[in-house]
Amino acid sequence: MTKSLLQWSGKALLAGLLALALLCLFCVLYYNVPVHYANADGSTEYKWEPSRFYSRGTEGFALGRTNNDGFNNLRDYTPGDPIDVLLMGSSHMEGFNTAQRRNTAVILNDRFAGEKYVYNIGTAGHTLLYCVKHLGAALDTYAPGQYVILETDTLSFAPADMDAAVDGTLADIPSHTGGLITLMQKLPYLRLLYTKYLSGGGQAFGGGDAARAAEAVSPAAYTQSLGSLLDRVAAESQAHGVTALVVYHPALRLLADGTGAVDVDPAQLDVFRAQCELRGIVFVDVSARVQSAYDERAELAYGFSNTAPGIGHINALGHRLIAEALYDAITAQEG
Amino acid sequence: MLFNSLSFLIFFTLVAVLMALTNLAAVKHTLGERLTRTRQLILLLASYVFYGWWNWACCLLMLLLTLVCHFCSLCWAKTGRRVFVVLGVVFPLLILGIFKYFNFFVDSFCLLFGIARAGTLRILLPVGISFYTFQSLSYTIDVYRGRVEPERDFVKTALYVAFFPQLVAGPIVKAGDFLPQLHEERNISLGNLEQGVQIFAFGLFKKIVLADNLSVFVDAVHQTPAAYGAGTLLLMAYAYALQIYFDFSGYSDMAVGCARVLGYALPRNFNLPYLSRNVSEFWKRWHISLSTWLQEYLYIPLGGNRRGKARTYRNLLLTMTIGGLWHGAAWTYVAWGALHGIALCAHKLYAAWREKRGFTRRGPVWTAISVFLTFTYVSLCLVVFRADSIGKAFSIIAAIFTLQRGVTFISFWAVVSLVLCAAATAAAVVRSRRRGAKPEGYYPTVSLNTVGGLTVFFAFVGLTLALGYTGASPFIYFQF
Repeated sequence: MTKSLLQWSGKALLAGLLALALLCLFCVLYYNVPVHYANADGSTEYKWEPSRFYSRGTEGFALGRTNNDGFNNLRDYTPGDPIDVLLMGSSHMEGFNTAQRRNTAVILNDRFAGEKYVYNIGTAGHTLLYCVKHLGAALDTYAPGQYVILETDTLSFAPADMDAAVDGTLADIPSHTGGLITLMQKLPYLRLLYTKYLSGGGQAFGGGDAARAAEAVSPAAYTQSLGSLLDRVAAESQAHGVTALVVYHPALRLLADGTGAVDVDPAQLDVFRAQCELRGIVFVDVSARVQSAYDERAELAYGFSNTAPGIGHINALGHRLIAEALYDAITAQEG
Repeated sequence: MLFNSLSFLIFFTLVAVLMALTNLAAVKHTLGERLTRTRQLILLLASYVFYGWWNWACCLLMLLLTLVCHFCSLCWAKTGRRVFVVLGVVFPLLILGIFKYFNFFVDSFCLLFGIARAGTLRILLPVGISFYTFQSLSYTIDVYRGRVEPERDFVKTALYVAFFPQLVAGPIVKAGDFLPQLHEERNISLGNLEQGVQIFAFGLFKKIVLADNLSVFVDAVHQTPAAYGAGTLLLMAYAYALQIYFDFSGYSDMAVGCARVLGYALPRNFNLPYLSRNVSEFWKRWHISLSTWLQEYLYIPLGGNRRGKARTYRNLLLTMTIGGLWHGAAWTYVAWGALHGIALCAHKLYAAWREKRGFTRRGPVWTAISVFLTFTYVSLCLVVFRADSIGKAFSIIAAIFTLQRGVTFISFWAVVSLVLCAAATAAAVVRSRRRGAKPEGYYPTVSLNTVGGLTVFFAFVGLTLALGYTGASPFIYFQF
C-alpha cells in the first residue's frame, strides 16, 4: 500500500512538472507579461523587464516586445536620442491589449512620418495623478523637445489624492521582485494565475481614482486641488520648455434605447478645461470622436472580442481616435 | 456553497476523507453491521451542512418535507388510505406554491385587475426547492403506484431527498433509481475517485471557462439590445443557448462526478442536445431528468396521447407550459414553455404528415438543416427565457428578423464555444457509430495511474484555472 502510494506520488510529481511545462508553453502565447521592477530614474513607478517578448490574450490579443528601456515602443531607446513628444499615461497608453503597431504612440509616429518622434512611457496603473507625481523626473530623464502628453480616462479625482500627487505622497505601486518571487513571475502560467486570482481577475479594470472620487466632493474643493495639480503640470512643463497636453477619453455608455452617451459630467469637464486653459495646458477631449464613432458607424472605442463590448481598455479604434485627436491638437498648436 | 468555490473544495475533501476512513479495516470491524448506516449518516449530515450553508432555516423546510413524504408513504402502504397519498402530493406542492409562486400570482392578479400591489409575502426562495420537491413527489407517487417499496429507514429517505451533489440543481433523481443504491454497500474506491474527479473537472471546465466567459458577452448584449445589429443579436442568442447548456450540464457533470467519488450513480441529464433534429428529440436530450419527470408524473397522468389528437396536443401544451413555470415564477418562463409546447405539437403534426406521405428517409443535408433549424428555434426560445420581460424578448427577436443596424461584435468565446460544441458532438457521433450505437455523449476520461494520463489531467485542470472567468457568475439553474 505504502509502496504503491509512493510510486503514484512519483508519477504525479513528474506529471505535475510536465503539465506545468505544457501550461507555461501555452501561456507564452496567451499571457506572458514581463516582470516589473521599481524605476530608479523615477519617471514612472516601475518599468517592465527590458527587451522582453510579451503576449496577452485575456483582454484583447496582443503580441510584442518591450524596448530596451522597458516600455512599449517599437524603437529602442538610447539616452540622448531626440524625443519630440513624451507620452505618459496608464495601461490604456501602455497598449498591452492591442497589436503593438496599433497603439497610440505608433500611430502618432506614423502620422508624423519622421517629422517628430513620440516616445511612449505609458505604464499600467499610471493614472493622471501618477503621471503628475512623476512628471518632473520623466521630463528630466527623457528631455522631450516639444510636448509632453498626459493621458486620462477620468476627470473625477478626490481632492486629497490630487494634493498627494502634488506633494509626492501618492502611494507607491509596489514591484515584487527579488529571489523566488521573480522566478515565479517568470513562469507565465504562475503569473497568469497570480494575476487572475490574487490581484482581482484578468478582466477587471477599475478606475481607482474615479472610485475614490465618487464620494461627494464640493466643487470648490475640487477646483482648488485641481488648480494645484495643474499648476504643477504647468510649472514642470515650462521649466523643461515643453507644452503640456492632457488627453481625455471617457468611456461611452450604451443606453437602453440604443443610443450611447459618453460618461462625462459636463460641469466637471468645463471646470477642467477652463483650469487647463488658464495655465496654457492644451486640453484634448476625445469624447466627441468617441461619440461620433458610435453615432455614425456604430463602433465602440472600448472593449474586445474576448471581453464585453464597450467595457474595459481602449481597443484599436480607441487608440486611433486618441492618436488622431492628439495629431490634430499638435498640428493646430503649430499653426 | 458553489461547486466552483474553495469552500466546496474543502467541504468535499473533508467528506471524502471521512468516507474513506470508513474503508479502513479497523473502522469496518468496529462498526460491524452499522457500517452502511454510518456512511449514510455522514452523507446525510454533510448534505444538511451543504444546504444550511445558504440558510439554516431552509434545512428545517427540507426536513419537514422529507418527514411528510416519508410518513405519508409509510402510512399509505400500511393502511391503503389514499388520503395519505393526497397529503404526500399536496403538501410539497403547497410548499412550492407558497415559497416560489405565491407572490408571482398575487402580483399578476393585481396587474391584471389594475389593483394596488398588496398581499405579497416577504419570504426567501429556498435554493433548489423545485428540485427536491419534485424528488419527494416522485417518491410518494412511485410508492403509490407500487414501483417503489416504501422505505422504512428515515435516514435513507432523507438522504434520497437531500443528497448534496444533486440537491440544488439536479439531476432530479427518481426514487426507483436512487433508493436501491442505499441498500447496497457503496463508498469511495480508487476506481470511483479516478472517474469522479475527471467528470467533475470536465463540468468545471464547461462552467467556469465556457459558460462564464460567454456570460460576459450575453449579459452585455441583453442589457442594451437596441444598440446591437441583427447579426450580433443572433450570435448572442446562440451564445446564450451554449452558455445555459455549458452552465447547467457543467453543474450536472460536477454533481455526477461528486456522487461517483462517493460511490453513487446519478443519471445523465444531457445527451448532445444540440444534435437534435427536432424539438421532440431535443427534449429527449435536454434536461432529461426533468423531461422524463414531466412525462411520467404530468403528461401521462393527464392522458398522454391515449385520448385523441386534440387531447394529446392539449396535454403537450399544458405539460410544457407547466414545465416552463417550474423554472421560475415569471411570464417569460411560461412563454418559453408554451413555445416549446407549440413546437412539439407542430412537430407531431408534421411527423404524422410525413408518415402519411411515406417520407421516412432523411439524407445528410436534410439532417444538417434540421439540426440547424432546431438549434436556431431553441436559441430564439431561450431569448424569451433569458429576457427580463416578454416584450423585451420579442423586441430582440424582431430586431433579428428586421435586420436591425447597430454595433457588430463577434464574441471570441461564442465562436470558440460553437466550435468546441460542434467538435465534441462530432467526436461523440463518430465514437457512437464505431460502436454501432445511437449518438451518445461520453466523458473522455484517462487513466490516472500513468504519467501520461496524469499529465493530461493536470494540464486540463491547469488550463481550466487559466482560462476560467474570475468574476461573479452564479449557476443559472440555482434560481430554480
